[in-house]
Amino acid sequence: MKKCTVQKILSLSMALLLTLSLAACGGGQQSSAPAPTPAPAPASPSTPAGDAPKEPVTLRFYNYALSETAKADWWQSTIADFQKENDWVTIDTITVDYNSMVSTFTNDLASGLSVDLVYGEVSWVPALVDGGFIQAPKNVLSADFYGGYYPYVTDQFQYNGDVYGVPHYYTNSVIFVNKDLVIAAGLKLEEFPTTLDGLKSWIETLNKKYSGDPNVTTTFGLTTAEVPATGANINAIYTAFGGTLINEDGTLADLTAEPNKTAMHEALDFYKYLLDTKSTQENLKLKDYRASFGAGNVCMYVDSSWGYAQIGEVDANAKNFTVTAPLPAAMGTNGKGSSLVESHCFLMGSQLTDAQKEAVNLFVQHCTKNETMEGYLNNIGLAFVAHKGMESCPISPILEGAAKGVDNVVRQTQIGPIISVQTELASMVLNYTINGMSADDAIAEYVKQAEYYINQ
Amino acid sequence: MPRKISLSAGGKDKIFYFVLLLPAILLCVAFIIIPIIDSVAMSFTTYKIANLTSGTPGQWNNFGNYTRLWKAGKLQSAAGITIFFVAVTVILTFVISMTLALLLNTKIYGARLLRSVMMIPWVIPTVIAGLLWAWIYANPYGLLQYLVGVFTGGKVTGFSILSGQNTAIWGIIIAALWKQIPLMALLLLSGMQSIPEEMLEAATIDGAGYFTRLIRIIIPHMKSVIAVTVSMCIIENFKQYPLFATLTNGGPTGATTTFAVLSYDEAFVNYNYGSGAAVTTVWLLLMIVVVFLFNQVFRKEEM
Repeated sequence: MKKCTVQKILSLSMALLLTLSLAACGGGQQSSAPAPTPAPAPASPSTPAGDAPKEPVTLRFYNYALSETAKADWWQSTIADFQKENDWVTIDTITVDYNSMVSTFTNDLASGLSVDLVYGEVSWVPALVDGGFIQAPKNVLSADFYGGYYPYVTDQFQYNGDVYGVPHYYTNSVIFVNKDLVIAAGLKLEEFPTTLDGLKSWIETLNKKYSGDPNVTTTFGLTTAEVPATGANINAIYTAFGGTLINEDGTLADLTAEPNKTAMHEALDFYKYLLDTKSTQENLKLKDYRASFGAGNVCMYVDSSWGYAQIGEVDANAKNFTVTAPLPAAMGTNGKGSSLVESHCFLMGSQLTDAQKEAVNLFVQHCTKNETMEGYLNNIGLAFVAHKGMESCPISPILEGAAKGVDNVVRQTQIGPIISVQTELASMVLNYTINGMSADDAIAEYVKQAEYYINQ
Repeated sequence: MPRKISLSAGGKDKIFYFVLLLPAILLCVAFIIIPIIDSVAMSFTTYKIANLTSGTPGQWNNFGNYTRLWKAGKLQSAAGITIFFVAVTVILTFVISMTLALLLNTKIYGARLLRSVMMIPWVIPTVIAGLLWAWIYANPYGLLQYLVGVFTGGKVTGFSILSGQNTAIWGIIIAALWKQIPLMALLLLSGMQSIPEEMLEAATIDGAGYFTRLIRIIIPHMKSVIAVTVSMCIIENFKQYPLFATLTNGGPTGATTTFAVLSYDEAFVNYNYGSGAAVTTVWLLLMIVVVFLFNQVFRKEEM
């Protein structure tokens, strides 16, 4: 055979091989992906006395908290305990990144994987409902157990006329206080301010005491970085000043009408006051304050109660100097101690089979009982209980001061673009405090941006 | 009787070449052309999560995504920031890389070691590089803040490059330079080393000084290398996302919101995939125009 012919045959074979390998790449997915039905589980499920043997069930449990060491350890041991008690259930845990959960779910669904249970936050609800990923928990949980949740917490999960999640626990915005620094400045914790003026007076005392002290970087920290957590935090401050951001019908509240106008102006002035007096730092995230607080460099700052998890990572003995307080009940002209609730929660997949529903029901109940939660709520993620069944579960001594602040919880209406609408609040604060815009212009710009997201 | 169709040798060769090219063509169509067409088509529709999960097509919205983005000023702002970032980064990368390549091309002591060390930023994944610079810039415990404090004798405290409306983009440019200069310097160096030594020696004998040799011999001989490296640099920076995501996420107050950040936010934060696709389409067109113009300018100079 001619050399040229051999070369041609070889080249053609290579081209054919490449084409076939491409075809193989495209065809393998469907057959290899597991169907969204229960996968094989333990070989010999136990049979409780009098009960029929149960079909093995697998739950795919997406949990963002698994990326945090302390929480991950707790979840692994809680799941192991549950599976020991219910050996017909297998829980496959999947760590999902906080900022890409919808992409993860979408990709997994496209690959034939099911989303059975999600551990997330309230702000995820609109996107997951719109995507058809989750269903109302009343369809999954037993009526008795479901009825035990405090309505003012489950109200936060309302979207499109239904409740789409149940809280594991909840928090409002609390002030973390370094009692050693505060007492050293001559202030008494039992006289913690209940008005905005009182709070400013404390801040001024702390500023005088720690001015020029390189070890104290912040006397009263408020986050202004443009991230979702900051947006929620600023919304909570604005709510404490008596404002409402989203109307019941899901539209943006009129920020030029009272009481919202005054609340927003007073909130902005408070941020400006803190930055001008160098009491707070520009553009910091909550995690930055948590690290600084844990290092003993912050007198007070506002955060969710579970921010303590990161404080404790910096200094394991932080409980010795940490106490909490509620935001003052009288913030500005209209503030009456209203607070917004945040919660870590269970969201239930929309494609659950009956057996999976039963398993989810049992698992959520297992995670929401005193024996399971006591250590967690006191040492890992400080928070308040959200279910009657846990009423006797003692809250952390660190949170006792802030407990008074949960009396007047208001509902945040959930809308699809809530994360962006809240995050834009941080841009508004920066426009007013740093970029030299007037308060009215900063608010007008905010309204423009928020409407952009709401009307998309 | 049916006539037998016979092909000439040239015709047979053409069919053979086509068959050989077929896998590459299929690959391009399946993984490049179709996704681009799909994305452009999506940019003219209202396409939300429900469309994605249910497999229903988007609804034609009569250029609604484009007009909405334009009216909100987001497209114009993203275009301005992207072009500024690309222009400054590419120019500085080229100037610094060329200087380094010229230095490394001399027989300076430790040039070999320097060449190896220079590779380190390039081999680090961009996200890791972003996190590294985030630590350097961190407020209040970052290295940069400490150095600024030391060099100003404590007069400037709390300097945070990523917090300022006007300084944040420079923080990202510095990180991008650190990451990209090594590769460009080494590519330019390899181009430089391919210039015939005799030609440079002859020019020296003829009395040409260093700058004359640089302008008349070295740079003209390196034109093809320069064209390729600068084109690569333009494309690399046009699509830069990891540094923005890790350092500023588009802030403060939109000061670093490039097309990449805007596209991600629209599609994966607001779950408006149609709007995200509209940003991507404009972004792609702008990148094609810039690279085309750059190549045109280079070609003209060559003529």
